[in-house]
Amino acid sequence: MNKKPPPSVWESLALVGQLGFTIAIPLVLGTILGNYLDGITHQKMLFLLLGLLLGLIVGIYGAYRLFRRLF
Amino acid sequence: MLWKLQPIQIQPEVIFSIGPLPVTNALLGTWISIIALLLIFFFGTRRRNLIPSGMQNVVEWIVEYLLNLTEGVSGKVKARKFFPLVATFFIFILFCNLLDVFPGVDTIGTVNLEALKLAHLSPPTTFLLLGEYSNKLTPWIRPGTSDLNLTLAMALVSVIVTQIFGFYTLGAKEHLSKYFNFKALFTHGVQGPIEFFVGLIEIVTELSRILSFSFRLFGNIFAGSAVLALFALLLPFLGEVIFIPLELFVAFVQALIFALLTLVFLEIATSSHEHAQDETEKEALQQYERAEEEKEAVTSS
Repeated sequence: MNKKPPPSVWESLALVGQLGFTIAIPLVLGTILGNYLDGITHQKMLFLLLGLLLGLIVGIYGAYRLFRRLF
Repeated sequence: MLWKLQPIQIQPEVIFSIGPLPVTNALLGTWISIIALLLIFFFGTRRRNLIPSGMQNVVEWIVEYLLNLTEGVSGKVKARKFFPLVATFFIFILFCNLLDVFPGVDTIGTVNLEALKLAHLSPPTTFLLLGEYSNKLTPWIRPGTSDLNLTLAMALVSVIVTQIFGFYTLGAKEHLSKYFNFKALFTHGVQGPIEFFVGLIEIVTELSRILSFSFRLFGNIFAGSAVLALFALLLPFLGEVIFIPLELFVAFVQALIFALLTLVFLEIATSSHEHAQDETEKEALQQYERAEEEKEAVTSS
């Protein structure tokens, strides 16, 4: 059984504080990158949506990695 | 109208310059924090007795509390390596943040002559700026962490030191294989490309930490000083009774979050993927179990 001690209150608070950024920042970065690629390749929405999706995946994975420490 | 709200501006203003280097009000605030820190730790460690008293007591309590916190997260062995960086971050950010609630910060300064000219006003004759003059002020001191430059610099230090510790403890090969997992690409079959992609995701999350660290600290402290300035006008005396304790709490929590997140990511970077249950975790688990047994013994007796 891979039992870990639960983190202290302050550590949990810090991790929770990081959660929002972990989801939001990759989303924004992906969207900006997609928008830039759309501008270069003269596409309408393709890279924007792809960037959004990629950012979402990165954000969710980052949140999962962060919260694996909590439970 | 007795007072007008100060214009809330993000970039710090240049007060004077030493040669080619401009000195901003946020930089002056940072220097004041550093001097205060130096004085406290100088007087705390000047006459060291075995039985501490006065200032030495306070300083020892701070250091001991932080050391315990570090050991709780990363175990006794690693904590000694991480402690200097983490504790420095905490104490320095706390002192920078606390400058926010002092009287005179953001309110003492020189009159901005250009703003006066734009508003067609003659230079003021009194020391207290009232009415139309009250928002034509360039403050001399501003809390250091309400300047994005300082928080960005600290976030960069935090992320780069995390990488250095990762290379140092795991070795270049194992540390880089966290990000470029070529081994999984060939050995794990269908899962291989996914694991490789996950490694690339790690790079993005590492880089996004620079943004999250710097903007969280900057945003909280900057917004805090804006709220204090606003409520000094909207609801004088009463508003500050509520918001100054809140800002004290925010100052403490933000400093702690910055330090603890640095510590947590240091801990993640220095523990290897393959044997996740390494020494520090075993040690922490033992400590935890011991504490639990003690608790049970206390409750049963």
